Amino acid sequence: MRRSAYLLFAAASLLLMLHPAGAATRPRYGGTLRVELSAAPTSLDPGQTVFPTGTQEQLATLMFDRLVELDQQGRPHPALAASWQYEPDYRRWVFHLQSGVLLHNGSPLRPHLVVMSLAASNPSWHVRLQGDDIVIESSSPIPNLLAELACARNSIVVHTEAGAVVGTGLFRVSTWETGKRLVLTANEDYWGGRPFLDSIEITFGRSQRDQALDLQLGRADVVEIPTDQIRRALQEGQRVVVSAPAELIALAFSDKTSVKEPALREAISLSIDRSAIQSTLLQKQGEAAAGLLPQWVSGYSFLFSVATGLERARQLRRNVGTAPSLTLAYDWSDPLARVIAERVSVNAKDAGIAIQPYGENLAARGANADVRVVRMPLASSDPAAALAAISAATGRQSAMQMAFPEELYATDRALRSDFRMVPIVYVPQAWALAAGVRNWVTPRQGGWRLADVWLEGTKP
Amino acid sequence: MSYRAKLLALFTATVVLVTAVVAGLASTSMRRSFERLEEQRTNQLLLQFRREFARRGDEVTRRVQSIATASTHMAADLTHSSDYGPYVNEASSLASAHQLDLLELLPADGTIISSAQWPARFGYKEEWIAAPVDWNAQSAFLKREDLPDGTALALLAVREVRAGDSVLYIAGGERLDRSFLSTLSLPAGMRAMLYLSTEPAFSPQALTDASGPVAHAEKLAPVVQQIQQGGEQSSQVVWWSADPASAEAIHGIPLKGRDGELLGVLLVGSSRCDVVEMEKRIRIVAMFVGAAGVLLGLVLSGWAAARATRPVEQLADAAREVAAGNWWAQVPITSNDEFGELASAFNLMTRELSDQRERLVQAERVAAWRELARRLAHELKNPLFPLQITVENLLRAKEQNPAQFEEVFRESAGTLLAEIANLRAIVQRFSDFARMPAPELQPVRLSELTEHVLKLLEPQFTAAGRAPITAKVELDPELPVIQADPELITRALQNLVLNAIDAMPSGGILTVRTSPSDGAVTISVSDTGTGLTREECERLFTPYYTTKQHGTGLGLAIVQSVVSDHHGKITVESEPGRGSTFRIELPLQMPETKPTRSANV
Repeated sequence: MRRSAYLLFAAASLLLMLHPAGAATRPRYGGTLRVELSAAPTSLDPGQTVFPTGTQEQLATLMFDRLVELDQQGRPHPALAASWQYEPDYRRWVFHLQSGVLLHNGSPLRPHLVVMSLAASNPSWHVRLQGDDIVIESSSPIPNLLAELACARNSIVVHTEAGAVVGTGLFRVSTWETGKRLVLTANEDYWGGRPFLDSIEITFGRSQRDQALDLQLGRADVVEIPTDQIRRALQEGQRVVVSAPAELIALAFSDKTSVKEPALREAISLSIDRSAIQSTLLQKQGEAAAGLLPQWVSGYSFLFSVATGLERARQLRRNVGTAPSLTLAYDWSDPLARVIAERVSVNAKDAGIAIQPYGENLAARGANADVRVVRMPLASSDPAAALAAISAATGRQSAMQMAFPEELYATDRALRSDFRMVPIVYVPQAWALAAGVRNWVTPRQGGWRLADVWLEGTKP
Repeated sequence: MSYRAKLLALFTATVVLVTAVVAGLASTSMRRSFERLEEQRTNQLLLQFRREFARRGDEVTRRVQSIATASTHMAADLTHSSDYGPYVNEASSLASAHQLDLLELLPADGTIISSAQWPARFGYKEEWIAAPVDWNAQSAFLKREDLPDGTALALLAVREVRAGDSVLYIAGGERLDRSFLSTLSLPAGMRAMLYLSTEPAFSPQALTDASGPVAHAEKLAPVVQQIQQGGEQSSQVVWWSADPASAEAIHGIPLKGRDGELLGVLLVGSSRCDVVEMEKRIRIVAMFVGAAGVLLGLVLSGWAAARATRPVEQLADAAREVAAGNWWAQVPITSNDEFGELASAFNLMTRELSDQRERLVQAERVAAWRELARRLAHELKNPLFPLQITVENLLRAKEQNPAQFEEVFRESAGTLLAEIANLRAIVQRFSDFARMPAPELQPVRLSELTEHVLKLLEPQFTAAGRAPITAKVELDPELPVIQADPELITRALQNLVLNAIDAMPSGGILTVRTSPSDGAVTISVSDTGTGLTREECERLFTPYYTTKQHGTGLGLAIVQSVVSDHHGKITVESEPGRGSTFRIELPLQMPETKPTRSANV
């Protein structure tokens, strides 16, 4: 035993001697992480929309906490909730909050504020106080409640009397210029410990070209990498971090009469060459999507065929009879959405369906279009929670059981049965990092975890 | 219309006609010249446009060639890999770098590796490019290209890159649209338009120029349709408004693809504004010059007419002088031409006439004296014979019958005295004619005067021993007052009425009329007597000529003398057996010059 101890000591000494710069790689406090994004969110409240955009989710993880967090394997871990209990039938859950948690405005996080936040985000739940505990009850079993609570939309958001939103997250809002710039400063009183970074400065609405330029010129530390540019960025030796497929790009049909025929929507779905989109447009990144969830989340998505069914599509088109030229809206600031929309148009043309793509502001949400290209970030690495989020986002509160894979499979099919939502591809999130950004961890389902990120070269 | 006016009108008409003909010829010639110039200009412009078009094609070819030259490595890479994904955005980058609207990268089978104009179209095939064509020898050509927003016409060039067995086609070009049109270097006043529909029916929306859709595009439909039907270029002048300056010569050029198929129509418009403006200015100048020419022609015509008619006018003046009695009137001879000869002949004529008149006057004077002597002898012979008989009776009675001498003496003395009185009367008549007084003018109402004369002579109409004469008087009471000598006029009227009575020994109708005429009054005296022969009429006013058994032949001579002294005119109409009518016309106003009675008989 003693010999082993000596050997261990000798090895440690040798390592220290061989790596004199080791002191320089130790995490440091301080510095401002400069992030540039193409999106321009108009709100920081993740509960304001049923289905927040990826950017809103990312921002929410910085400013707000949830009761529970999922790790890389999808296992729940305590966050604001120190512990929990549930009934065997999954209809009643009791959460015990951590003590000493302060909001960004310095006031303590009271249990009733948590109740108000969760009740606002989940009208179908019955959320109430039981002493200092939070009780969540439902008429139907909610076995995947922990995964759902880990979603961004269930972040604990407190609305002050002044109308501001405050949370308990790692960073607090210092400056907010709607849609242009956000400065977050480290929450010194964070219950989990102060982050290394002093602040994060996020610039919105930057084009991808400008982002790449700013990264090269040292004016940004973190920029987005479009999916179709990941391969090139890697070939160019850039420092790129890529998540697992974490965002669904799909066609969302409107309720307009022009697309009321399910056969027409199915024909469009069958005409789409998803493999070509994945292999060429996405440069083999992400995965072709026939189901609503990526393979790594669902485990069954491979069962859905992504092959093109052009003959069947043409037959369906013929059965529909006369069909007008359809309009396909995409976010004009999203080049990938544009080329996917154009590809869908080209493919649909082969089936005899005329689709005219056009770009528009994301805020318009394709209000006048027959169909639009939508991005839906993976709400959770838990398939049931993710499907529930999609179900909620598409306006279909599913009461289906999703405890088992076959139930998930059936739910997935059921949600797509009317072809109102036609999956195309799942794409990963990718970021190019400056050399000084250290300890960056990319969750599989995307988003940011900046608690342990620090900047090299920053003077403490 | 005077001869001068006629001549002036003739000259003017000639000048205007000549000016109009010259102006017409000049205008026609000018228009044709302008048309030739316009045609030449248009041809030059079209040639320039074709050169510009060809230059753009060469530029496209050069750029595509440049891309092809730099794409050898890509072709080589594709030899080893069928993964086209890394190149999907290559065309967009290259097109942007080489300023091409369209660019596609295609392998040997024509599959689109990358498309700048339609990035989403990767993986699809362009069958036409795999045709057995030596693309590197081909210049730029026109082709209809499918784009996300529809179909467009493009000026394309294709180049082939070989790397081993691998072939890479570079198909790039420029889109023919309003942006393309706006970059064409065209001369001022010229514009290019594109019609890109291949539908048989004309579509105004398919016509655009550098600034956008063409207003009133339907006016260009005939040119487009003519080209669509015939496939050859066509021209037409289009008036965009009522203003002639809005005219634009439109030349349609068919845009054909490699296989000769019609892909569109290029319309080159050349504004005729400058030409119309120039024609307008020249027309105005021509009008001014024409007007000045006509004016000058009028002046010259007037001068020429005056110069040409002056001898005639002088001749006319001289003739009027002759008519007025100046038998010696002469015309100056100012030229040796026909007018000179005419003037010379006129002068000769007046000289001859004067001489002949002089001789005639002399002859008439002799004849008059003879006639006077004859008449005097005749007049005196009649009383002399009784005188002689009476004296002889006295002498015989003294010698043969003294007892009755006293009685014979008294009878003979009476006879002698009567005959002597007769002689005295004869002499008095001659004396009166010789001493015809000058008229003393005063306002005279001719109708009243005539009525007075008729009343004086009325007893004569029904005198005993002769057939009665019926007087028919038609006097105009409204007859204007004339300036005349009433005594002389009365004498003249008395002579006429007495002559009429003498002319109707078997009775008849005497008609006296007064009536107004143009600037004069007329009095006519008609009888239903024996009438006069033509010869008698001609000699009727000759002094001492009479057709009566007892007359001096001075009555009508006195009448003519009175009328002449009043600047009047006397005429006679007569036919044997149907009576005679004497008509006197007297002017309302006497001339200023005081009349002088001719002493000539």
